[in-house]
Amino acid sequence: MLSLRKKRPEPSRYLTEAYYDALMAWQTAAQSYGPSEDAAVRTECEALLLYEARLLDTRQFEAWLNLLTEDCVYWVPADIDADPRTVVTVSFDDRRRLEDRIIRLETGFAHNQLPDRRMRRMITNVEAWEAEDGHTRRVMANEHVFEHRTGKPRIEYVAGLDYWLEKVGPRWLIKVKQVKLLNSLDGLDTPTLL
Amino acid sequence: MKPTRDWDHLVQHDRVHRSIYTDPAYFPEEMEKIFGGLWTFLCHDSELPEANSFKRVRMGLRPLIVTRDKAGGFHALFNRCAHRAATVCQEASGKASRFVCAYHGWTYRNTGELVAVPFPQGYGECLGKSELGLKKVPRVESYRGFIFGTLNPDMPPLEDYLGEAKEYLDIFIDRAPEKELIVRSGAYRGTYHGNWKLTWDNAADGYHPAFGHQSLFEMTRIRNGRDKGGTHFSSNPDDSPMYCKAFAFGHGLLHQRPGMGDSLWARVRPTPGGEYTAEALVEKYGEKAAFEALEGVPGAGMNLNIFPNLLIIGNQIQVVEPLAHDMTQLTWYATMLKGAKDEVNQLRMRVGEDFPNFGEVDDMESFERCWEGLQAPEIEWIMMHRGLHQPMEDVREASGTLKVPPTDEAPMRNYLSAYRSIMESELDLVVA
Repeated sequence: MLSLRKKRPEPSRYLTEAYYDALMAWQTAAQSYGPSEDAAVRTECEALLLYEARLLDTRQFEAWLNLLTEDCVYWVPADIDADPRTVVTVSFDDRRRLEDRIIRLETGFAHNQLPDRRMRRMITNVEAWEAEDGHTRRVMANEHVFEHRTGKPRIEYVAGLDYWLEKVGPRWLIKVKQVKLLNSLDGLDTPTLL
Repeated sequence: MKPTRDWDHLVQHDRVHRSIYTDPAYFPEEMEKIFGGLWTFLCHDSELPEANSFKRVRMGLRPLIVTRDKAGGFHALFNRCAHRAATVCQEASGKASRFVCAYHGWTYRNTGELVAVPFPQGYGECLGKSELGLKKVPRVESYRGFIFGTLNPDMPPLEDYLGEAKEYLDIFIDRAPEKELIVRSGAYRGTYHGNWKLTWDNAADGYHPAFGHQSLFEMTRIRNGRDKGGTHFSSNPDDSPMYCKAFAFGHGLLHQRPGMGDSLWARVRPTPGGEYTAEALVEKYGEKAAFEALEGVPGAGMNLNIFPNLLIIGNQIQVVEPLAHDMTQLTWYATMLKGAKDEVNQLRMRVGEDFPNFGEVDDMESFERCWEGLQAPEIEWIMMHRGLHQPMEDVREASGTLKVPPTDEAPMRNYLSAYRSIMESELDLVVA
């Protein structure tokens, strides 16, 4: 049983105009990054991504959520470069909606999760940069996600990943996870969590 | 030669034969007659905002380009070179005054006219240039921005075709302060393995939510209590003031609004940024004006279904796009309200994402389960007789529209009757 079920949903107050502005600035800046040069940073970030992948693949969704900041966004754009204020996305979840999503997946009534939907994902092409202030990092990677239920066709998603990490106390947490699906403009099956 | 169809057998008043879903032989005929012989939704005029705008769409499987010429007129061109049939436009949308076929360089104006053919001397006098434009859908009409096309000279004018469904489309559009929609906010697209009619069977089905969407209702109950989201379906909806209507030409309605209390905004499930935006609006405009504005965030509390491919659901426009007899794409276009505050239109994006992520996932799974069940050839029938035993509850209005309780299967019987009627007609479809 998810302990999340007992949590009272918090009002959603952090998705301000300034937050969206910062998100768009962060997105626009993606193209200006050169090769990542700090191998230690890269290794640390890769470990985080691989751990994250394992938590998702093994459906430890609450533990996965604990890798995200309180003011996080899980963002799967349909139109990759568009501003989510004026263009709808595949998914744009704040923390509260991510909690909703996870609780729904585990209600036992999410029909496309039954029986026994399994996931495995490959994470590659990891690049990472630390900002000069030492408090934020950016990680880009690719993922290849497989989902399967016995007797059903295998579903695959290929996506570019872009992370905004923040240092919260001693830990690096995910503030923004953007998933740029290769086929985001075509009809999707219903991904569990990308 | 077309196969013989015994329509009295295939579509009965209380049940429908599995073969019209599963037999691939019906599909080309459906794409030709249903998505060509009826008024088929093409796009919204706000998607073509200026001179030389274009958008690629499908009319059944026919590839089209809807264009706006420099004088502002709309054209629905076949995206098919008159020479060897290659598509001449690959971009989903954009601006272009001309389309050039990349195969042999034939060049067309965005009105369809052929303007240039490379090395024309090779044709001598026999080119027939004036006959070799991009073919056009001969009848294109729009209602309050919604552009439809038909290849059928015998269809009544669009407004007559929409009939009473128009009044409900008006309700959806009139939620905009300036009484217009803006459809330029992208789309969510979902694909399921199954026939397109499974979507229609579901489109005004007030019976399924409590079961099909139990994951959403259960999550909502755990998180938000009983008064949010779709929980007005969880006890018997027929005891509520909600209703369905079955209109002429197969259109249908599931009207949830009467069961949803005073405020639609109050029923919206908690939305990313919702509290911040609501509080910012209150601060800026005062409580009364802010909450009036927020009423514009959700849809109109209805599922309005215009046969064969336009479904108004939530605050979105869903277009049914059959890809094959066993594969269907559902495209959910986000909409904005013209004249609404930016904050309201912004929240419409976040609210729009809710149902495709948390509800439609279960519908698409239900459709795929139906599709699997339908593979048993010996079990021939899909039942749609719910409500037939209690004609007293049906109110046949003067117009012929049927009004029934929300779990009644009359809307399904109604669209299948329209389907049957066009499928059994001999149509003379034309292009211009």
